[in-house]
Amino acid sequence: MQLDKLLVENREIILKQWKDCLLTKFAPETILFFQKQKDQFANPMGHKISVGLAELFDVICDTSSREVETPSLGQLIKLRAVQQVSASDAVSFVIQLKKIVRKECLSNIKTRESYEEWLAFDVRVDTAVLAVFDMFMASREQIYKVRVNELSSGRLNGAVCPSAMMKKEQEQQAQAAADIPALK
Amino acid sequence: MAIPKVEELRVNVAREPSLMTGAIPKEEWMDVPVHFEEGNFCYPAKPSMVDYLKFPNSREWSPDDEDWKLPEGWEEIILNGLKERLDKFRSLKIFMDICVRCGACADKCHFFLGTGDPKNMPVLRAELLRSVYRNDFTTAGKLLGKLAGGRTMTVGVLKEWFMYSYQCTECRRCSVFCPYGIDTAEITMMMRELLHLVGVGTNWILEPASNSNRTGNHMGLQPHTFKENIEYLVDDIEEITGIRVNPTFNRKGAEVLFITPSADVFAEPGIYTAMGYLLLFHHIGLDYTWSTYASEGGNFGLFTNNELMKKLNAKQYAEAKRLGVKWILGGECGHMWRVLHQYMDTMNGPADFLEVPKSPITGTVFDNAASTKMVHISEFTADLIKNKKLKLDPMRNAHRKATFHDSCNPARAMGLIDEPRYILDNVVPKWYEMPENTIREKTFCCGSGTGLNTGEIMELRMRSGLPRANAVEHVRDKFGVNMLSCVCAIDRATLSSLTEYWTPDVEVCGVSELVGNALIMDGEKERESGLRFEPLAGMEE
Ligand code: SF4
Ligand code: SF4
Repeated sequence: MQLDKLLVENREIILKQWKDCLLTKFAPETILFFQKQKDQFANPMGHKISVGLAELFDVICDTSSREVETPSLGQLIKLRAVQQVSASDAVSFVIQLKKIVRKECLSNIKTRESYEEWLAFDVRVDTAVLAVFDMFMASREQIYKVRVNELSSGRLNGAVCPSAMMKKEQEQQAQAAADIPALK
Repeated sequence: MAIPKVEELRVNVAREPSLMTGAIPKEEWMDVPVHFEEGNFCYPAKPSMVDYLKFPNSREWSPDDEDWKLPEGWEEIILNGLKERLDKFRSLKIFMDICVRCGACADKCHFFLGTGDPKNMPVLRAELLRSVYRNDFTTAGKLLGKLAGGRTMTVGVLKEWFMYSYQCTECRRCSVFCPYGIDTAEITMMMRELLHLVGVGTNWILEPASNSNRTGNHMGLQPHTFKENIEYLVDDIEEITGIRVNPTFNRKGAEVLFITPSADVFAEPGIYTAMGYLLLFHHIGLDYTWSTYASEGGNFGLFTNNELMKKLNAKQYAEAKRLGVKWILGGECGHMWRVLHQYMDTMNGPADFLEVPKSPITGTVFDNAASTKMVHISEFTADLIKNKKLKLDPMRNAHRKATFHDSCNPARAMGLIDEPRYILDNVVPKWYEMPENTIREKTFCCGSGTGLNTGEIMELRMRSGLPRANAVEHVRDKFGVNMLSCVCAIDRATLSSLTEYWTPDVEVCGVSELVGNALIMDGEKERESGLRFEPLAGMEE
């Protein structure tokens, strides 16, 4: 049997294990809840993990697709980017897919016969890790921007009214323009 | 740096205390110590703020220090403080006693949903205080200690209180689901009060509170600056509509005193909401005044202790008395309404020197405010619309696809749920509700209320705001929503950051901004742009 077929056949079980490995860090009661509650609005984190992983899995399995980033994966990585974990930790889950797939599919397939297929699969996972790493860094950058924008909007410290600032600037420019002839 | 091997990563995952709180799971919750690191705590209050407010134990310290420099005999101070409050607030005593640990509240908190940390389950959050209560104030606890769920007050427990009472926005969502109506928000309030007794507090709360005490608003702005800022908004309104509105300040004898959060006067996107108020009052010819002294609707005393809350609230009423107004109209604020609806009357009320509010335009008497004499701008506006006193063109908001976020306090602490919706029905062509379990009394918090809207915990805020953001994302994807409207100033600030991260193409506004856009003013010029100078539909270049 070919690897691509096995991946499709075992999609659900692989995804479940993949999700579990993203959840290991949580306390038992949390894990239970994340797995049990199916309403996406009552369990946004569990939901984001599930759909994000599913999209990434499909991208990795679909040999014709080039683009790794999908909307739900983007949201999952944003989640990782605010969980205060190291960058390597945040993206390591992608690599775990290799292990899970080997465990689920290896017994049904002769490694030597499908050597090239395995290699190709690994390459796709590796590519995905790099892409996910970029996404993670972009999300981190975005967080910094949000922080800076919040400060500069005055939303929180309210230092200045944007309108007032604009007016002051205009006044200063007008003053400067008026001052030039006076200097001459 | 060498790339770690998968196997190493796995070990890393299991060993590292890398959940937000640093809790290494799979142990009894009582045995898991808290771990503070940059990013998971709000900065402590500056000594100058603590001194100004005459709070005890001002000093330089940091939550990630081992030694918090607590005062001599701090355990006793805390236990005495708890005793005093158990005697004073019957609700606290009841909340300590009646929880049956049914777990109905456990998964309802946005902090739990966003962090996955079990101590953010409301039942466990309350247990942090309850365990100490049991130990020292119940017979079973005194005899059996840990066996009866009791815990002695230790530094570890105190640190835990600090961690988790500042991971609760006192939003009260959990109380909606509790069969006994236990309000964990009140338990959080008590934990924060007790912490203040030993000098453990955050700057983001104490600084606005002391500013409010000093100059009348969170930002510490003085009267002339406050007035100047509103005048800039008046200029902008004239540019957009061709109408010059004429607000007055500190005017004695005005019929109505208008009080709104100062963020509406100083910061985006609140200023557009303020422009909406200015247009509305001009449109109906309201006899009203702003005050440069009661220039803050918010009350950070609520997040500090009940005495400070009372004092800041009293300032608003003192100003109403000084000016001799008949009643007070309040702007779009969140916790200001909680203070008003739940505490004002027994704290500073009844405000007998004022009259029961009556709309001078429609004649409607607001009996619901018979004692506090303060009416919410949404009630007031909805009444105007219902009585057909406003000329409105909803198509001026056609460039907005709106949804509505119920702010926790108006929705759950005062039941203001339908009025803003009724206004939206009349000022925008169409708007969309978020899913049922995320709105009205079940609304999800913005994630940054009660003084948690500070930059140093941005990541935490993005997680606690996830349940809200997730629902916004849903209506954005399904209906193309691009505007998240609300009636709370903290929301306008914090949701702006939340959407910037999770749903970048959704903006945030106050409902009154949409009212301002829709109002057809007498003698106005053709409107080409909205209050943000953004082009109206069909007016794009
Ligand atoms: S009041 Fe809100 S933030 Fe606090 S425990 Fe309840 S649901 Fe959570
Ligand atoms: S729902 Fe109420 S009674 Fe049940 S565990 Fe929560 S606080 Fe206790």
